[in-house]
Amino acid sequence: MDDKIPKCNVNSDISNSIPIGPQHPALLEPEYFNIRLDGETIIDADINVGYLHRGIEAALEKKDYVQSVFLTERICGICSSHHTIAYCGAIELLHGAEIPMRAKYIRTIIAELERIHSHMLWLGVVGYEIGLDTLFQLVWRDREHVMDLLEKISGNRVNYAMNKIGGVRRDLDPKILSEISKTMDIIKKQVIHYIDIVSKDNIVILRTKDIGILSKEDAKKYSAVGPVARASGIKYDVRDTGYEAYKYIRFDVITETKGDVFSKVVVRAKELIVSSDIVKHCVKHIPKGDIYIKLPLIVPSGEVVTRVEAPRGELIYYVKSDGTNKPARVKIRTPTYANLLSVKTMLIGHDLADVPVIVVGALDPCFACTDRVTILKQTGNEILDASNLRSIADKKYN
Amino acid sequence: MKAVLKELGNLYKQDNSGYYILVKDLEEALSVLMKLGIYRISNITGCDTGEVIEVIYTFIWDNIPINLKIEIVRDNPKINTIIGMYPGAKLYERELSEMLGVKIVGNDEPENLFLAHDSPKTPLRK
Amino acid sequence: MIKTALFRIKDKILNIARKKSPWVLHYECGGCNGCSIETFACLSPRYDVERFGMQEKGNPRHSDVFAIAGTVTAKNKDVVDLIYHQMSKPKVVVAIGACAISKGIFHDAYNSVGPVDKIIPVDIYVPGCPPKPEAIMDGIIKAIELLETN
Repeated sequence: MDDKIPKCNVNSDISNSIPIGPQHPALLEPEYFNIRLDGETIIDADINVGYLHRGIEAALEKKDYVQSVFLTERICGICSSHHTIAYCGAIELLHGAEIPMRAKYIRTIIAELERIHSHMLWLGVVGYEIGLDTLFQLVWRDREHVMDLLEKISGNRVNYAMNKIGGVRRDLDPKILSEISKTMDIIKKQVIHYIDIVSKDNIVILRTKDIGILSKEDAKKYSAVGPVARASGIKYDVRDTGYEAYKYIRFDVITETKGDVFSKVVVRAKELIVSSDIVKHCVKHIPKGDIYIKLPLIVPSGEVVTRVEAPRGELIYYVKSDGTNKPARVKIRTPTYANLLSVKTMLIGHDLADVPVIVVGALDPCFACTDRVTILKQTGNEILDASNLRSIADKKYN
Repeated sequence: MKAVLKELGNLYKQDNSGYYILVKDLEEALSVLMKLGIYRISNITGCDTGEVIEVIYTFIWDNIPINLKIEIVRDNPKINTIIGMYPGAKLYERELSEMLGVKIVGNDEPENLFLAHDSPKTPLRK
Repeated sequence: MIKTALFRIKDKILNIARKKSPWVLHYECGGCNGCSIETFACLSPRYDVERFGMQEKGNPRHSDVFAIAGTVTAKNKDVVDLIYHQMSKPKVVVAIGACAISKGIFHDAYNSVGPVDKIIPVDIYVPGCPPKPEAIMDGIIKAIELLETN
């Protein structure tokens, strides 16, 4: 039995390659990382994408404009209404039309409610990866308040189908508006409690401080967007351009300077508070009026670029029309795609056990938007037993 | 701002959604943008119109999109890489070559990003 | 005679044990992730699937129930096959969502190879886009009853 186990080599720079593959307990979506190790430290990392690639851009050219809105909604289940805001906004720009003010406020309320549920989902999953299961259960319990609201407004918890070309589909009556306001008070109170837990709890601090650092120069070099860039000190938020109702609302853009996973946690947690304030402001100042204007089915020819701030960063749509009722070309650039190149910089130098924390905590991947995957195969020669692993942990945390 | 952009090429469209410029010499236009302080590339789109292949590079300057469009021939399309000036363009160029069959000189990797070995090749070509 | 009786008793006890604590493996093949999020929401305190003894484990060799969501893409079909063969018998497969049952809204997308039952045999179908967490729990409980009779 002993000769079947390969002996440890005296040469110390042997490196093992561990793939972390499409199906893995730590990953919610299929992703593929190929990680080269030296002992327990990561010296190189590579990403393979494409497991969720379905061919949506080609499928959008076969449908007419009204049908294609439903397909863009199902690119991603977590940021679904942001995709429709960008797409419907592009078509309305091609028409040269402006939607009614009440519709803009309703779109903003739905977008911010979606940002709240997406960040709470992420916060729970980070707690699960770190080992703090209590945070996962607490946050997902409070997330259900937001999901109930979305179900009362639109009829479905995911894929709400609220946006259409020319406005929104359903109106909000005063009873729902007051309920939204009360729920936002509850959420704000709970989020302040979570920020307190996260900044003082020993488990979170040990596992996230100084892990996965992305410096400001690297974030600029690899064109990072969203909370990943904001935690490294780059103040970049597309909501500043004032699309939909954002130009009538004053809000803060949260930035941190260190760039490690802990600053990313703080940035996203504080954005929850900013979002709940935006929703309350919209509910208080929503104007009366129509929710929809009728636009012709044939779109005039031209091309247009629109950008929105999805929960994970900047989402860009390029739509080209050739004067018929079907789009000629739609190109979608999602935020996780833009952040992929910076993952390698964040991973190198850390331990294998930090991979789920960095990948989920820092990057917050939405691979359904990006279509990528990971696979694992065992090719190493060195075998570490329990006492070796224990000594590595002791060295790190003491 | 408008004067600087007019020098890059033919400014054929300008509205709330940004500036759209048709350029002939891409490297010269990019070096002008680098001098203005634009360090981030946001998107590269390829579109097959039936007659030519259009490649559109999107940059953001002062919160406004600036789109540089170049046109290349459909048979055996080739284009130079820009990752020397903008390293963030690496994945966008690979996607362009995979979906439309455009050869990128300087950023040629044989492995596909998205398509499997039995998926249709260059699916976005007409 | 005594030996067969003993085997029967052992099988009955194992069946009761399997029914009271099924372990679920979840995999997302190629959908929008809406169904995955709803499956994960079953673990949250509101729906609390652990009162049925269910746990979500990441390892195929430990699981009895394979909950699969999303349409199968070209790169993923070998992965799904491999996971199915790594699970030990008896096992059941639950297809969650419209994309897993019939390709759903991606029926004309070029990279989507087919619904799940083209690759592996499926026992229970849960329709919806996405189905609510209560519907997913109902589907998994029906699947566990199949385990007993398998």
